[in-house]
Amino acid sequence: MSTARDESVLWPGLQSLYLGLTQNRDGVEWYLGWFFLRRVFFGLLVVYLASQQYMQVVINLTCALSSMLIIFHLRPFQYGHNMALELLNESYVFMVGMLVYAYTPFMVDVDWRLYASVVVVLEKFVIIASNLMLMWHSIMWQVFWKMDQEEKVYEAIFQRSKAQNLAAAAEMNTRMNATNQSERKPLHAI
Amino acid sequence: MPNGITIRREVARQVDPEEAVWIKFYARLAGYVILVVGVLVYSAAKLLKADTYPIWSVINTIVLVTHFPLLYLQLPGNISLFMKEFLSVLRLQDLQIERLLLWWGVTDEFDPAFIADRGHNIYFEQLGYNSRYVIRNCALILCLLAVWAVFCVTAFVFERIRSWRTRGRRIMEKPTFQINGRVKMYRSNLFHVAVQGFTRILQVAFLQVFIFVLVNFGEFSEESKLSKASKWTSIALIVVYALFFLFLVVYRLFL
Repeated sequence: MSTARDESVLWPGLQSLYLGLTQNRDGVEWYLGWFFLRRVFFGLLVVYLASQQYMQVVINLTCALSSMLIIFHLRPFQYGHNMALELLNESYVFMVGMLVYAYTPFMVDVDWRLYASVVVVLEKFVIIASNLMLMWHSIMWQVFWKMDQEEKVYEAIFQRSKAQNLAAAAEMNTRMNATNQSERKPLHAI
Repeated sequence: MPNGITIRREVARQVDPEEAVWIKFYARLAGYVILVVGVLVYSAAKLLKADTYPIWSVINTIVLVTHFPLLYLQLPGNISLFMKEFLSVLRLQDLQIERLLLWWGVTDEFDPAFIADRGHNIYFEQLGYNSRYVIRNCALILCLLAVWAVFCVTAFVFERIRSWRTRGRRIMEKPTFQINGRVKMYRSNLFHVAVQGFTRILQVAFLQVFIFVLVNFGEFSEESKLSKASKWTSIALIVVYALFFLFLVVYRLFL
């Protein structure tokens, strides 16, 4: 997807369907396709492979890993921090997918299932909290950027007025000197 | 019971009633805190024109993670209860949007189809999806889509009138960084904004809609009014999503 073509139209294009996608690299549509395909896999697993426990777990883990690999390979995001956030979220999904093993006959100890449950719940809160904190960081960045811009504007105005005052003072000085010189009588005339 | 024995009969959830009350309370509290904080932070971001990407990222992740209990898993009763309450708050079940179906006359509490309706399997029921019908499981999503469709039509009409008043002049805008220096900004008209909202709902709700349309395929009998309405809603959703995906290809090839 070339930048020139995208910038010639009003419609923001594919990037509007998934915020933060880059416009300068081919492959963003593959990432979008994977986004939906991965959910199709999940839907098919829970509806049509409802009794295939290990298939479900393994396919989910594979999907989470594949997402990370696809992100690394295509680098479809406009900013590095968005890509890092997406990778972090995918790694959380992967970890929850791993903990799901605790609810299969693979894990026979009931106590360990409870421990895994606590970790799963905590992990969900960590996902949400980290994303909201990053969101807050984004907002604060915005506020400080605006304050910084305003400060620069005020500084520029101050510097300009200072320069104007200095120039005016210098000009006045020059005039006064010129006036004084013209009014000063030569010595031989006294 | 020896290890390795699989119980093949339905076993009722066994959670201590006092503990259940406590779990429900904290699950609901957590859900409401997340909703309120999310809405506040999102509003602040929109107001200050900050990057809203993290909020959409967390929503897409949460949709996946909270639906893991739909897998064929032997969840302990307390985590199952926690997940159900947590998800019901995040799905805004307290608004009881499903009551619109009763108000609309699609079904009623004495409708045999309504009474006989159950979830796709026990895991769906444990997570609060107690129906096979897409209009019952995805009532909020359908309402959102309907409301945004109205917004889109209204915005289209408004923009057409504005275009007619400016004699169809179309101002080509380039994206700029001038508003906040960080996020690429486009000057979209109202119709673009409305359509982007609509496509965002389609994107975020895709997983639930896909699952429950598949579930609904098992009940396409049209034997009751509920079944009939749900069948045609499923078909409409398939058409909308087909157009949505087609739009991506058309955009990529021709625009």
